[in-house]
Amino acid sequence: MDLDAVAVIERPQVSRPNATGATAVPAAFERLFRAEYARVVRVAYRVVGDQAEAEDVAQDVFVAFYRAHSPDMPYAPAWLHRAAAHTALNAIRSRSRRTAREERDATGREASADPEGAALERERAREVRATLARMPRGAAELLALRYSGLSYAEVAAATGTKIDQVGTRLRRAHDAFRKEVSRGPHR
Amino acid sequence: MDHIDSNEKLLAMPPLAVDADTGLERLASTIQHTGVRPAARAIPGFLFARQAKWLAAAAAVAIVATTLTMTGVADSILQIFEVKQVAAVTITPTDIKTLGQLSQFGKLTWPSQTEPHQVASLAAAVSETGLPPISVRVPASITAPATYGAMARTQATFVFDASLAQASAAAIGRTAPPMPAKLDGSTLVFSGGPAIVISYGGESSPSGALYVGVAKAPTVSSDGATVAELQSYLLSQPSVSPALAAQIRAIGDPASTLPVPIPVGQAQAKNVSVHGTTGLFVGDSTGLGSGVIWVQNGLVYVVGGTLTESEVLAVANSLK
Repeated sequence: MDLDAVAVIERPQVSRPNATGATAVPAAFERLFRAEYARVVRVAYRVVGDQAEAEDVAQDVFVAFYRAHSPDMPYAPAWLHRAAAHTALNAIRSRSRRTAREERDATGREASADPEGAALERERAREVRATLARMPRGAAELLALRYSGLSYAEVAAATGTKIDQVGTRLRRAHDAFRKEVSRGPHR
Repeated sequence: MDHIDSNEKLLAMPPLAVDADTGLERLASTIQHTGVRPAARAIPGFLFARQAKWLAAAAAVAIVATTLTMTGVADSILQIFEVKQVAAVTITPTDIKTLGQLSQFGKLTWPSQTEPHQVASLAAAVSETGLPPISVRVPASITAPATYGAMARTQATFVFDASLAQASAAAIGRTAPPMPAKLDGSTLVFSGGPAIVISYGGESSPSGALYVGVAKAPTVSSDGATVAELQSYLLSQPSVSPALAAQIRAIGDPASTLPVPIPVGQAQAKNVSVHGTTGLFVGDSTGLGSGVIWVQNGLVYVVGGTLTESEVLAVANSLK
């Protein structure tokens, strides 16, 4: 048996410089990035509740994909969505160990034309983030994927679930979410 | 439900303006300044092949993967591995490429007749292999007639070769970690089979396909490679991802557990109960194909095909 036959190896096309002088990514990767970046940011945002941090997560996710996968792979969108949820959950679980002072400093830097609305949104985001951080990871990922705007089919692809099972799993995830909201952060 | 409504209020996404141009510029800058290189366009055939090809290739990779879990110390050829159970190991396409390039560490020799060949009947397969006859209850959706295959016991020999490892690494501009002197020239002997495979339909069969296989549990022998040498050398290769290495190290009983590679994003695996023992269910992401593998009484059983989870488990549990 020729073990090397398991893999076909071909280098991607050579990167070309873009208008800003930075090294451009291969064209196929750029297409993938443009198609999926907003959704990856939204998945991450649904977990971390902060756009700048969600964009940081999205950058990490795309770099990880770039390093290890071909943009032509048919699973690319599903991989990116799942990785966004996973990486964002890692971020908030790690962040939950940060001190209250750091949290206050982070939110204190924000400015808004509607400070009351922004404060309510921050509070809502904080509650969602804290609840997702305490939940079973699979259920938290499922809610993040669905409530970032992905369809049932996209959620199914990202989680490796049959589409007709997504509804049932989402209901269970909602139960777990509500239970954690009721318990609150102090148990 | 009320709690779903209240959850939805909490979870609703606020408007979000996302600038892909800025994101792309930032990514390009990161790539430029950190020297991150794109993945080689590795397109492992089995990710796209269906049913039999996938199962066969996965099994081949699984056998190769066992070299990562070798254990035992021996002064002469000594059996150090026998499959008694299976465990899922999630692998990425990069990992697959790594496993596929195991030959860069040495020379693998397989005898010419390692493929199953068709025989006229189950009785002929049983007679040729010495394995017990098997039968299953075939789902009504599978209408193709059965064909039978048999494979004799076979051995593959892998000899580590430090000079080959260095040359392979140099060819791709990398420097190979030094191969321990004791490992250089040491031999692993993989033994597999005999096996019987019953096939109903095939890859392009409009009525679906079902494959049922039984084989004597594979073994691996070593003429001296130790767990420390094999694991520290193979798992420390820069091309072996830390995640894969961690999974391999986490296998509780590496001397008897066959790691079954599960391509991330393409398939899922979970433990299931089959014939009173624990088996591994593997389903592809489309739900169009699935299989179950388990080990019982020194034999490895595989049932797979264009079946749902409940169907494939029903077939597996009907096996006699």
